[in-house]
Amino acid sequence: MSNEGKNVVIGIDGVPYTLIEELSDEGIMTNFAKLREEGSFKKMESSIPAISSTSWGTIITGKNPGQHGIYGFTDIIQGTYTLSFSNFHSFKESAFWQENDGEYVIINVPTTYPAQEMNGCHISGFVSPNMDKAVYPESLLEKLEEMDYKIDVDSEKGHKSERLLFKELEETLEARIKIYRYLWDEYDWDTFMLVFTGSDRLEHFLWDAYEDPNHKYHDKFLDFFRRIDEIIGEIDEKIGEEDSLVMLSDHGMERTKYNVNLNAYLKEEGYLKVSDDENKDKYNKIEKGTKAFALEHGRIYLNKKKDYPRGSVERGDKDKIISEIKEFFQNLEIEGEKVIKKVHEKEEIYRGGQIDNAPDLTLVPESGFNLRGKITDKFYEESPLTGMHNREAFIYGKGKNVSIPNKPTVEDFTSTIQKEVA
Amino acid sequence: MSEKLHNAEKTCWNCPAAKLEGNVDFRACGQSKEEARIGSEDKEVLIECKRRPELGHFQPTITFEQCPEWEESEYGYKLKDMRVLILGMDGYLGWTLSLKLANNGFDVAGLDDFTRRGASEEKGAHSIVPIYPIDERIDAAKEVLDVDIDFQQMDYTNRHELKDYLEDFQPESIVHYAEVPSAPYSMVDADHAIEVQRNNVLGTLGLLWSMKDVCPEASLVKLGCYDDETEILTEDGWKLFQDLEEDDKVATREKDDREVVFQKPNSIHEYDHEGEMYLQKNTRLDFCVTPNHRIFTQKRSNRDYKELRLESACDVDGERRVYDTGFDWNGEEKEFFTLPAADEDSEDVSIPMDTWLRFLGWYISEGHIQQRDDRPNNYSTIIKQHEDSESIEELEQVLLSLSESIDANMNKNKDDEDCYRFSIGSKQLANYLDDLGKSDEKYIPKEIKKLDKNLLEKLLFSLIAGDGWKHRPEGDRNNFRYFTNSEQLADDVQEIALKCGFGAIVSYSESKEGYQVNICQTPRVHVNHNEDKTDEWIDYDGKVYCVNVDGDGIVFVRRNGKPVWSGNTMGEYGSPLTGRALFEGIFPSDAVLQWEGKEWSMGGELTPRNPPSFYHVSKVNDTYNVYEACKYWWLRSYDIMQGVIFGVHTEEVAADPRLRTRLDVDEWFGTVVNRFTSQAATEVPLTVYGKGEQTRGFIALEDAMQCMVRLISSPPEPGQYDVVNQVSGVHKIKGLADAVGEVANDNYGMDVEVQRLENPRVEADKHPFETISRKLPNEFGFERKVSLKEEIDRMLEILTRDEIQERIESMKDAIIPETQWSGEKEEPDVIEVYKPGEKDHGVYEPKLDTGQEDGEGSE
Repeated sequence: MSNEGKNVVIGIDGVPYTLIEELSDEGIMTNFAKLREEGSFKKMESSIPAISSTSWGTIITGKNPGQHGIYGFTDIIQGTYTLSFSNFHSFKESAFWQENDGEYVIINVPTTYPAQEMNGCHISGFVSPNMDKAVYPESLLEKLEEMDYKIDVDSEKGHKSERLLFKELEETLEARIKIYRYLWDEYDWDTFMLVFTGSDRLEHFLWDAYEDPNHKYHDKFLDFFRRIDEIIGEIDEKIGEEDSLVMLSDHGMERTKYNVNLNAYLKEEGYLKVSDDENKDKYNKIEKGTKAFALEHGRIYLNKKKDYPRGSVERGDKDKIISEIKEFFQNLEIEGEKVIKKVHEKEEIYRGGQIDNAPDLTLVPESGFNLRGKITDKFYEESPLTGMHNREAFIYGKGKNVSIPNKPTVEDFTSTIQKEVA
Repeated sequence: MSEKLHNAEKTCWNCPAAKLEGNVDFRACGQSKEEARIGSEDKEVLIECKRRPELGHFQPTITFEQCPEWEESEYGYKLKDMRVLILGMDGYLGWTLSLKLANNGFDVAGLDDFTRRGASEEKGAHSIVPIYPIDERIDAAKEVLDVDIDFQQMDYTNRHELKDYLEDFQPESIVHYAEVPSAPYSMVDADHAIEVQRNNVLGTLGLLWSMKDVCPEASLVKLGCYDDETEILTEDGWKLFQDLEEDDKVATREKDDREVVFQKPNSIHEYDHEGEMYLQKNTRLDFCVTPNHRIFTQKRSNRDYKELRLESACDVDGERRVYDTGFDWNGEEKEFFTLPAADEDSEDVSIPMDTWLRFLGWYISEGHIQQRDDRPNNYSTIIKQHEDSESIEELEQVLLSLSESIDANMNKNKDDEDCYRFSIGSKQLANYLDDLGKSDEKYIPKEIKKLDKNLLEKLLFSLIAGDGWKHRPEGDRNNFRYFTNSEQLADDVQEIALKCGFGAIVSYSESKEGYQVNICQTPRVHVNHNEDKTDEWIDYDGKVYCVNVDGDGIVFVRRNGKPVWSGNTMGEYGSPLTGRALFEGIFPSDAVLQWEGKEWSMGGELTPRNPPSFYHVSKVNDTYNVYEACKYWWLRSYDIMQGVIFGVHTEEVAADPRLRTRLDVDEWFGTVVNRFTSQAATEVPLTVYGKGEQTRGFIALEDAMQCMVRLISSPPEPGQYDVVNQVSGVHKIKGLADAVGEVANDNYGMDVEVQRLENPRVEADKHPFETISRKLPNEFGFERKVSLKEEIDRMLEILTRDEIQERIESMKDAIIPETQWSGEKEEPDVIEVYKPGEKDHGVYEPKLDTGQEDGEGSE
């Protein structure tokens, strides 16, 4: 790090530009409103797909998914139909705190489990099955226990009732605040990164509470962001003239109209053949004769012979199938509305050594259509979650060494804090 | 199109590299609770892979075929560089296996504390194939085979040291060859018995706890042993089907002739039957047969036996019928009984058979031996009877006759309870009778049971007079009941009663805690189907036995103590204690125990064992420990019920003299084929114990190694304890002696003979008759590669070399057994000598059921 000053990064998972803009305009987030006048506030384009794992992966490495290899929350393991959940081991590029000198405090960045050795301390964010492996150094575990630290809200409870959801959100947020305060003083850091993830959970469950001022939980929704704003203010107080402050989100959020099950369409159109053997789980149901199947978040993969055990697509057939499927989805309508905004082939959006694992087609949906990867016959259905991701994240920066490019994307983040790194 | 390897479809669940700990919470007794949660997605069981951490968390559904860490090999898919730890690496099997594994892409390490080398020295018997010290062996392995084997000297029962080692090496499979393997060794004296149990049972227990702590995903492959049971009348009495020795003769008859003829069956098969069975069960009958089975019965309307026919169960169902549960017997006529001399000072004495039998009946029922402490040379045989007994005079007369015959004194006294106490003072008599056992072990000697009907009647009535009289049902002069604590005696009394022409049934009385023999005047049993229907059709899923005998194919079988003549197939039904098929160690899931109208599920339970030595007991005990560990901690284990391993050859040990594995021929450690072959090599007569008709399962060394590699390559699932029978052929001991002798004489121009010695092993008469070994061929792709004679030939080739001949000469004495099962050491008697192949063992050949088309037998 070349700066004499320190870097502070605050992440708020899943907060769209429009939301934080509105909240600061309307006096809910007054500290942020003040900050807006002191620095640069822009829309930031999220990754494709706009999922926390891919996005944060891009953010912390500064590299394209074709380079770091994380294309979504889940992926299919090469040579099998087995579903895996990416974690820190899966990254093919290093995070910025592993690459560069200096001491780091990294709190709650999603997809960084298990925590690995580094200079400073690291607490990983969701998904972290085992707390013992989510923390570096291990000696911090005791402190975390004292503070009743939680990595994530218990979504099950969220599904049960909003009351429980808010309770979970509050407890998680407060513990997060406690730990940041403790670590702020405990370490002599050069870069401090703190991510709030409750925002994403809250927005998924209760986006309609935000949109509708008369909603029962509208105020509680706003209270959550008031609290975050308080902490923003608190942190702003602590930093000095030479220090830089960057705030960002990994993706945005909008109202869900429907969950769209791409596999149902693929099956109907004859591209997907599925076994009805109950013992086969998830994608192991894929039968020989399948030409394409879909994973979560709009990713479509061709069932290539060379890549999958029951693959049947030869190299020569690839292009034809791709253009067929592309055309089909471009024309797809649900209740008179166009579903897909854009269909990308992999080379259009990805580049790098991991491009072979990239989905052959990535669909970007129109507003309100949440693309799912279940194997089912149901084409579309309503969702219990009112919020779904979109690509409109935000980024903010202040400090003399911070410069935000025009039309920033998540790939640009690392350069905003690392001037000297080529 | 290439055939898929047998374990291609196994998944991460079977793989030791799959990290379940921390991802899946295994609760006690097999309930797992997954802990991974992914937002609001469906909850899954997720694992991490120790070898491929970059995969993140995933479902354990990758197959061996799909996974790049698993590679094809001639033994199925195997884990690349799988880390295998061999406990007992320096031994006969341990060394051979370590070379085989190292030579086939496994990462091999081993431990040994050289107990085996020490025990062999204790016995004065070294390996007759010279073997090298372990470090030279390992160097040779590197030089010749280019493999690295890691060795450390350690006593595996030092569990702290062992645990540290395990934590360091992180084995993915542990082969446990570190148990003391010798039955005779364990019977020498208390020290040896205790040492065997300590080493085997406690050692294994320590190992299990260490595995749980530091390498719970490793599978434990160990050697077990077992025993099993079912019934048919043979010349030696009732025998469980599984205990039949090949030369046993079973009771048969012709349709029109009630005379029983004992003959050797041509074959005995056991197979699965799922479907209906016809069950006939009442106070005097109990049989369960397949629908087409031929039941031997006659229509009720006929008066005599002449109309007995074989009819199918379907024809008999619902009809009135009569069954014949007895037979005509013509036995040996003997005039005198010889009472053997007690010591050098006395002589054999001849006693009129009549007198002897009448006495014997009384003695067995009512007598005992008494030795007076103050007069150590004074032995009394005592029989007591209450003065009100009707038979006092008869008894007195018998005892007088006897005492005259043996020139002893008889005293008659009355005690305070109005009992007459007759005593005969004779050491010779007492010595002989003492061998007949104490009250719950009493039995009737075989030679007596062979006697003719008219003689047996005398015995029978004396027995009854001595005991049964008291138990005669009220007012019933035609039927008798005989009661005893001894199961064997009950069987013997039934047998005698049947031979006398009566009907007889054995049952166990809970209230009296003993066995009851109900003897009825007639063996004809009427079945009335109008009222009190006692037959029914049942759904059955289990084992069925098929006995093939010459003639009409009618055999005499017994279930739950109730005998009947039957056509030659019979089903298996009823209480597990007297009729249980070979379940390869564990009851199937639908096995059920029935008693007094209640039922208990036996599914998944270990089948009961009946171990015949302290070594065998140690194996049974540690089977329980392993079973429990798998249950509590989700460890994984294969328990290999091994046939006797013989031979010296694998590709690896033959590659260089320094790589040779040991070959033991002494009584403690030498297995039978190895002993015979070395005896043949020095043209010493081959020693066969007892009748030599015990049937055992065998497997050549090379084939055993093939099995082991296959099992190691295809590990069990978490929590799975699986029993696998490892046998590639069944042979009778006598047949083996013949085979060895023939190869020696034909291929090496020798002149070898076979000699029969008295049997030092208690278990000889009740040895399991292994027929089923299906898992290895069916689930693990095993195929036998080496025949008995091939391996014998290979062994002889080595053993006839000059340097080996000298070694054998020096060990000749070690080859005669000294250990008697009761703990005393004696030189056994030679019973007979003959040339191999000379004795006709009959057409009967044992069958090995591998579940495949060419059932393999002996050669």
